[in-house]
Amino acid sequence: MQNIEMISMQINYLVTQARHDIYTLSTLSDTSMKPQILQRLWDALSTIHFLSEWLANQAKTSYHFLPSQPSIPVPSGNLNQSQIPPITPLPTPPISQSNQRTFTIGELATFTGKNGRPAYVAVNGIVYDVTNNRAWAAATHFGLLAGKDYTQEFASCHAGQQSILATLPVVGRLV
Amino acid sequence: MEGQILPPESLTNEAIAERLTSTALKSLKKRTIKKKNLIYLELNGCSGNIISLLNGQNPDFEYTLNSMVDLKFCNSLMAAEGEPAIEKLMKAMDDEYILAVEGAVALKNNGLYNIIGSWQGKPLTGLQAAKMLGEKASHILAVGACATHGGVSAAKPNPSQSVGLQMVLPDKKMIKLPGCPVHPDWFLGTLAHLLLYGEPETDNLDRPLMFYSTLIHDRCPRRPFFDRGIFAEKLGDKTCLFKLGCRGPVTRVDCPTRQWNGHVNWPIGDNTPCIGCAQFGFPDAMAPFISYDTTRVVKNE
Amino acid sequence: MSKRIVINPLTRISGFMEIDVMIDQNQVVDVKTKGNLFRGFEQMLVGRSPFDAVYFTQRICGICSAAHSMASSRALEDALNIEPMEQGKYLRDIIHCCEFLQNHIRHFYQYTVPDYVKIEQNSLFQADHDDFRLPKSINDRISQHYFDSLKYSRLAHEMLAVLGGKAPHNHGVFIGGITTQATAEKVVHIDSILGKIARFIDEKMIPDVYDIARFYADYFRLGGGYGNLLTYGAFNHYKELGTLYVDPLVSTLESVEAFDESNIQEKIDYSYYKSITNSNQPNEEVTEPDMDKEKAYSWVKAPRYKGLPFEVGPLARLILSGTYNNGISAMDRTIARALEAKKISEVMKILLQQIIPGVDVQKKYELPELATGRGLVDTTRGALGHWLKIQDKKISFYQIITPSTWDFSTRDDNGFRGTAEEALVGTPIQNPDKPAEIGRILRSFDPCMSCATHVYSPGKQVKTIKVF
Repeated sequence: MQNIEMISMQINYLVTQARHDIYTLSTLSDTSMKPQILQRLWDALSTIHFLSEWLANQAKTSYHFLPSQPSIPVPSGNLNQSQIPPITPLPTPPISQSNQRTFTIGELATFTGKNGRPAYVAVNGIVYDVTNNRAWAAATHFGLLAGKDYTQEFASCHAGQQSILATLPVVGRLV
Repeated sequence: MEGQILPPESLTNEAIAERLTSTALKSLKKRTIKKKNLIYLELNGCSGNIISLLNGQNPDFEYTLNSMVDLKFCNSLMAAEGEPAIEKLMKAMDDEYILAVEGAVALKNNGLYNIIGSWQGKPLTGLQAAKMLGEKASHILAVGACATHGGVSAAKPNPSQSVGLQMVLPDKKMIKLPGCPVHPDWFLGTLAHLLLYGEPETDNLDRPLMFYSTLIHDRCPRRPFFDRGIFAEKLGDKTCLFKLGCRGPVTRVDCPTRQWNGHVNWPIGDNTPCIGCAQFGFPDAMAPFISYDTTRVVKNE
Repeated sequence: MSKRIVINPLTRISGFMEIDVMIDQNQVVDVKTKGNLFRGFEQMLVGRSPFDAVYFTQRICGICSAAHSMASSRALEDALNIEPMEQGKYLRDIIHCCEFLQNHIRHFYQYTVPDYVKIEQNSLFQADHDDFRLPKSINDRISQHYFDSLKYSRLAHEMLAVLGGKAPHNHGVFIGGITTQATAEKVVHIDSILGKIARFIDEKMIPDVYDIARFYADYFRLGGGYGNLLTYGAFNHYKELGTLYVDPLVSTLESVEAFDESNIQEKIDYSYYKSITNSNQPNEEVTEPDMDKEKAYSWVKAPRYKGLPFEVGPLARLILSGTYNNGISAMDRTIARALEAKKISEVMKILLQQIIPGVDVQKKYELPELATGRGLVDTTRGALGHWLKIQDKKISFYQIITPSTWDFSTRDDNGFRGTAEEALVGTPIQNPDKPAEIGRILRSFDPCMSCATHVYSPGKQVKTIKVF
């Protein structure tokens, strides 16, 4: 539960900063600063929204949180963008179990990316996570839907581009 | 041209088109370039590209007509009609000309799904015209999604058996300007480059690098939201539209910096996903355009 | 002595059209027009996500794409049982106004003016006939306005893009109204342009059209037709504003009555389709193509209202709204387009004044497993209808009846010709070798063959697609 506390602290920090920004805005005489402050407010609000959604989700699913396995990416506590690691490509889940997870084609078919579920696809027996892969908007990729084995499609469209696969997080094997 | 650094487009909304055309004007005055003949052929499509070209600002249509090209044939705009119009088309083939084509080539029934006129009492199909004019043209511009790869005219199940222009002119070099429609700057800027410096540098898919070099995603003002995983759940949201199906990450064109219609807005600026209209494969490979079912349903929002 | 005149292509329209006219003693006795391109949108739409219809159907037409986004959004709202907020309606209708302005300015200056004005600036405008009657000063002035107008039609699209993202093929019109939120900056951006366009219409476009009318007064007696008028209503039924332009109405020479959509039928007696009956409601299943059908001569069906053919478009709207009563003819149609441009700029001004900034009208929509919907809206060229069915959350049926289908329909089992066909019959042709009259009359309807011929199911052996 340590992470939840951290997030709670982060929200408090953001709220404090937002209050301060609002106060600054209300007394601002030099309007040149206004766009920057508004941008920071906007960023803060977006992050608060994101974090609260995440918290709500945790509470709803009563999911027992594993500190080392974020199910969705958690922004770090600083709004300075350069210190926030981009979430794409997703870091490969470090725990060894996930790499060993096996999927039947039927199980794979449930990871369609719909309704908040992850989007997985299989190529050459390996199951990859494309949930937040930029070429898979809305869990679709040039007419392909997530949740399927695309060994043949990959071979015909991305011949000689194995490096694409190397950038994708591996979530298991297709059996 | 090797090793040349591309112009920093992010600083030049109107600049590329303006720079090229003002240079064109100077060159014209110095008589260093000559106006060339242009044949504008509309085939199986919505004629939306010619409408978009009329939206050209710098240069505008009047300037284009008076200072850049002699427009020999254009179904939407020419005064002549019937066989006299087609006669003008045939006559124009006697001189050197640049051919611009919008719309796809309909192959079904030997091209009879798209008849562009009558010549010597017989129907002239888009297929015949594309081949005939394409073979003799000094330069060919495929304008808009239907001409570059079939586009919406070739959408599944492709009832008219439409294909892109290259399919019927397999050996001809052509510059492809995908987009639905084409942005007037993409067309007029390419035309200006042709007149001033010859063929512009293109990528391996024949798109001019000066317009089509960079992914929308890489210059998207909403990119920070993507990087932080903050996604819109509905149209109208101000965050990243990725989960709704935004095709900006797979579409190479300069919409984020150029913008549309006097450079005032663009689809993502309108809080809607890019539907990849300037990417090969549009529309089928870019569908679905809008999906609400990827994000979680939150009941008490 | 009979003579056949074929005009192919009829240029300066949207799309491709061929006219085949028989004249006897210099008078039109028979006409066929053929739409010469075909894509088959109704088939393409089946199986797609219903949400995609809004952007997809716009690709039917480059000059009136927003019209199709209006009709498809309304059809989806009907199917999904969504009532848009007034602010959503206002903003969406402002986008539609922008398209009216763009379309009418371009249709008048780029498509119509070269019929009557000898534009000498460029060989592109060299006409085939020599029936040019304007005094030089007026001729030169309107010629210059041909080029001046380009700025204003372009600005109309700029206004459209401020709310719609881009034009042609906007992203802003959608279920619920619009995808973006108004801001003060956007409102003044649009208002500033609107003022310029309204001035251009007042000071240039309307005087120009009346000058043309003065010197071509015989066109007040040509191209009349049946005189049956129909509108689905335009800029009407606002909760607080009521009707700003025209309510859904139909009129014949005998009567005016409220429009009732259940009276629309599509007839296929003379069209290449087979079905159990030759008359269908628009939301019934698609008929099967049948090229061997006796009597059939066209791929376009014949929409009828209470069994009669009707004219749609700006003149129909102006007359039905009670603001024009000069008559029905080719010249009245052309004048009506300019007068309507002014009317639309006024409507748009009122709508702009209602805008509240920052209202987000969008929601996360869910698709029903099974639903039907229809969207009827009057757009630049007249009455446009989209009918759709959803099954398993996909489009299972899509039908589009465009304004140009109304105006360029086939004849029917009661012997009624299509509206434009009737308008041409009896026209005297001064010089059968260089006929100016046919193109002028047909263009007065602002035919959009991109729309009329794209949407019908194709057959196996189609040679040409006759629009009438």
